[in-house]
Amino acid sequence: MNCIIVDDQDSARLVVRQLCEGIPDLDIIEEFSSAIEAIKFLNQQNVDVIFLDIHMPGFSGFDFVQTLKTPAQIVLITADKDLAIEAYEYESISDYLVKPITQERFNKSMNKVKNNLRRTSVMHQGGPLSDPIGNDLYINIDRRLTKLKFDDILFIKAKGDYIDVKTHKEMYVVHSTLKKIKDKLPDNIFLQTHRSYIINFTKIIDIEDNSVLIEKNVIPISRSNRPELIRRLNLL
Amino acid sequence: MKNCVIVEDEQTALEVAKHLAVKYGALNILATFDKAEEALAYVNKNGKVDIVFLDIHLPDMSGFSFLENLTSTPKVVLVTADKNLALTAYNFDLVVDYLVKPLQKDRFMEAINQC
Repeated sequence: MNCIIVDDQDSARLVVRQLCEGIPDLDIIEEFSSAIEAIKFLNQQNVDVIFLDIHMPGFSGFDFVQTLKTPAQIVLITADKDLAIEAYEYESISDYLVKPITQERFNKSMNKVKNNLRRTSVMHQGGPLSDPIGNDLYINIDRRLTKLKFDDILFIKAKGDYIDVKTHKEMYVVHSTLKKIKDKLPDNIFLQTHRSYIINFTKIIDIEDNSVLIEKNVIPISRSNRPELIRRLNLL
Repeated sequence: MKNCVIVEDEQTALEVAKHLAVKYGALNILATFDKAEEALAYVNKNGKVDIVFLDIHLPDMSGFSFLENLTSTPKVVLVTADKNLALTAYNFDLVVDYLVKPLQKDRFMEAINQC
């Protein structure tokens, strides 16, 4: 597991480093004293685990979690006992450790993180709501689980707490997040083109500078996602 | 469809949880309990329970004692009016979420989506 430590205090980072020493297959690849620097780093590279302080100058741990786009597991490390209830608001936060942290509690936390990571990767390969062949996805519409074939999905758009799933015939509104559905979709045909859009790129009709056309829908491509799209195309 | 059990001693809170679980969560409610001990015996014996909605302050034992005595491994969503026990909840790996009463639909759905 690759991890990073984000804490403004040198001594606190050292403590985490020492706790990590006893854990096999846990590599600290970088340390940051500023949350902003960590975000810049994470825009370039994915990690599995982020050890995160809550109280940092300028940008709190919760601000950090909100801006995060990567699916890493977050372990909060803090001296403040009073924010655990707030931590439960964020699915990506898998544990909340209060200093001083015993090695025993830390080891328990790492087991939990490992299990969560394993579960996420299982979901990625199909998961409980896909059929064993893995050609479709079930979505919950008005208490009914509706089957959608991957190949019928044109694109998915994020809309607050909901996502719009567009097929040739229908537009389904589902209570879920883009991140969650992304984990369930096969990445050989789906691609995120924008923070609010995932497209089925086999359905593309043409591509302009900053948009793609799918049937009659113009979908934006953000600058950061464009290279990946171009890379996947069979260009002449 | 996932099977759930609701452990809640307060009648109104129980009704709200039942309503949300069925209407929005598409869950099958196997049983509801107002005491922890009976619930514990049921969940430990019945391997089909996927999710337990668990109040923390129960008349006969606390939700945390319930968790300590659990021998099966369902996902547990704590439902309580007490905001001060979230830190303790993090010590239990089975706990996937901590909801503060009164239950809200959106927050409830977020919890179910993690189960």
